[in-house]
Amino acid sequence: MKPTPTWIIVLTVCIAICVGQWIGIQRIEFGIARVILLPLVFAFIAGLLMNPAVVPPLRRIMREGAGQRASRIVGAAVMPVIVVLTASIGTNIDELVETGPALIAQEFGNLGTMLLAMPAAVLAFKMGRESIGATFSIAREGGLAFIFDKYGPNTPEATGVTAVYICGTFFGTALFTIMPPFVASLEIFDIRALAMACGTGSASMTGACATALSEEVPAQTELIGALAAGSNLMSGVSNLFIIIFITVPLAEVYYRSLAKIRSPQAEVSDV
Amino acid sequence: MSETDTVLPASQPMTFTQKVMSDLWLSVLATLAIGFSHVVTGLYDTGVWIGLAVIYVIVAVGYVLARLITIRILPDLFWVSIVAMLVTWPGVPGSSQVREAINGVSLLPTLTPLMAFAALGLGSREVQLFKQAGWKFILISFLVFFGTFMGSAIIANIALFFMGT
Repeated sequence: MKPTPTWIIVLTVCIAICVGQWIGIQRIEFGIARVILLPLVFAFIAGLLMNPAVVPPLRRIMREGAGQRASRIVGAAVMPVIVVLTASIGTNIDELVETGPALIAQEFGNLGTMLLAMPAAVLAFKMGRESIGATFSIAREGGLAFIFDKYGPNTPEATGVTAVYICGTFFGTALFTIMPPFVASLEIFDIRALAMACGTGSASMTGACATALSEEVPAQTELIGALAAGSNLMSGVSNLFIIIFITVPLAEVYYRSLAKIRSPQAEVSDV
Repeated sequence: MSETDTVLPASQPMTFTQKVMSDLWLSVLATLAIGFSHVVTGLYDTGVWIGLAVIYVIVAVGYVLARLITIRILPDLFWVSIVAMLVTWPGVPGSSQVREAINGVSLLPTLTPLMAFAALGLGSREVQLFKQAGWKFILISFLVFFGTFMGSAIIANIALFFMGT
């Protein structure tokens, strides 16, 4: 089988870009709140529809291997996003230092992940120790590697983290364009708090989130970018330590107490 | 999202120069796609291309730094961020020109090619895994992402409130 020529990959990507940019930014009103759909969401959907792994008949044009090469370009395509974002840090450094304590405190906001999702996993979906892997963090590369290392690759914890990692790969970035402007449009939160929450340690999610927020509050574009980039940079450095020393030990305790609520009599056997 | 090579097979080890050349070539493709994305939107003044050229140089320097510093604890992104911050820092010679050049590039059309490549990059293994994960995990992952964002937003908001800024 001959590998797919690069020009077919580039052509496909160009078509997806055209679809995304031509549909443009869509705003949907829901009474008090608003949802903004960015072109990147449409480009992603168009890309999926042209992906032979999703639509098998396309295998005639694009053979296996096209995906691998495209995913290597993803690593390169994320760099300009991060350059544009971090370029605003220097000029906004006063604001960043001023909000510093909040910026550091919100790094622990990752614990909200577990707080919200673990009860649903254990009590509503009756999941076992998969819940720990699935809900301890947003399951990006660092967390994935740590869980595999700590629990081993063929464990329920590893299954949980892999499942959420894959789901995040499919629609994590899309969620991070829809959710932030929606929350912002409720006008409960300080826009700076939302900008900080954009920094997850994943560059594409951070970029998408900052762009979507800027669409909602165009006057604050520079500040939003700087806060999001600052928070993202901090997440990149601190996330793994928070996961190792706080999140995962806490997830163990939280899981056991939730499992006891689910079945008070039975001893939780797999602890 | 997927800023890693997802299911790349373990290929034969590349030399330093080969690694850097491969990174730089992929960056050229990515940069051209971003340029195209601007053009499609109707933004095609020379400012875009100057901005992209400046960004390309920053990324290239970051890549070379990341490859030179062989203890790979910190991702490439970290080094690119550091370079980008340094050359745009107020007071650094030429920083205002660099900032102005980068401002010619908009974030929105820069993100679109990223997602197009990401969508095409999903292999059959990932699609299979996604189907197996089932609706329970899909719902859980919605809560996971919502929880992360809201958790950080709530803490940041409370902290900002008490700081009185």
